[in-house]
Amino acid sequence: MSNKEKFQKLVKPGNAQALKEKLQWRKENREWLNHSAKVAFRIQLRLKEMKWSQRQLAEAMSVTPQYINTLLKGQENLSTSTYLKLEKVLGISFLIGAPNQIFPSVKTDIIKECIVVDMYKYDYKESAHFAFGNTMNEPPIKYHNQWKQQTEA
Amino acid sequence: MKIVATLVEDLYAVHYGGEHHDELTRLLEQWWDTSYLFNFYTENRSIIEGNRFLSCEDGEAFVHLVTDNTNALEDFLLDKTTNLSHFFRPLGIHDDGVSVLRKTKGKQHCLRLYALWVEAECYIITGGAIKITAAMQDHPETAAELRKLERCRSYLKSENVMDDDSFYEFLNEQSHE
Repeated sequence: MSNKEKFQKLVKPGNAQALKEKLQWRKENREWLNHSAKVAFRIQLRLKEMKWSQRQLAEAMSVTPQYINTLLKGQENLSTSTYLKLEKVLGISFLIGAPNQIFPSVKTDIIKECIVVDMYKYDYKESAHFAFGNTMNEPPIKYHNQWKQQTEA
Repeated sequence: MKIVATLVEDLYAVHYGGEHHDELTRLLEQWWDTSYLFNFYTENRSIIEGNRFLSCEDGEAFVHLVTDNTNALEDFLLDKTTNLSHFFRPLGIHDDGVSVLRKTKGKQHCLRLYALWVEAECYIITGGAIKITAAMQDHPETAAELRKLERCRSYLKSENVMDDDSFYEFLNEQSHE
């Protein structure tokens, strides 16, 4: 038996199996994990703008600081109600997946209608279609601007 | 300092004293953590946005870049689509020989895994980083990785790991401790 063979019989896998299972799990859940990472980044950016701590966010959302910690790591599969709560507390919208990814000027009311419902499942055209009907062929920002002009007129 | 097996055959990782995980697990956990990426981006914003190779116009683009490349690295680790000797390349022009414990780097765009080469398809990961500067010495995190490579090499040499047989003998002895 060679030294290598002896070695391979003796070496314990350590956490290799656990890491393998974690990687497989991440691969199966990649779609929402990628999305959650972007959302988590935007939340942290907003917290910095507002000069808020994670604890303040936890208190405002009536959740535990541990939950916020996981959320900000981008490893939480957010529910629709959590998105709505975050939008309300932070005063931002979460429209991700469209060409510019962020629509800071879009009214939250519109976003609530079209995007927050399992938004990561849709691309922007599908999301916009959901909100604006069959004629939707362009990014929702154009429709928002039309709506804004009508409102201001 | 310990050497542990990873999920990839013949790929080992250093587990430093005081750390919760071995280096491969620690790095993946770090790159999965958006809080870490946010802090890294905030602290290095001017370097990241000024680096044409990274092409990151803002923080979200940076998170997207790291996430995408971590995913690709995960796929490599799970499926091992290429040989380790293709993934790990000599670290610099002075590391191009075939000496035991040669310093190498595994590249996935801006992500790096640093490793010592032991034999044909056998590597020990000593650390890794998000590389945002041209030279490793130009950023504290990659500069620290250079020191870790040297420290691990010195450690293995001090344990008489100078050739293939002695390396496996050393691991054999370690498993009895």
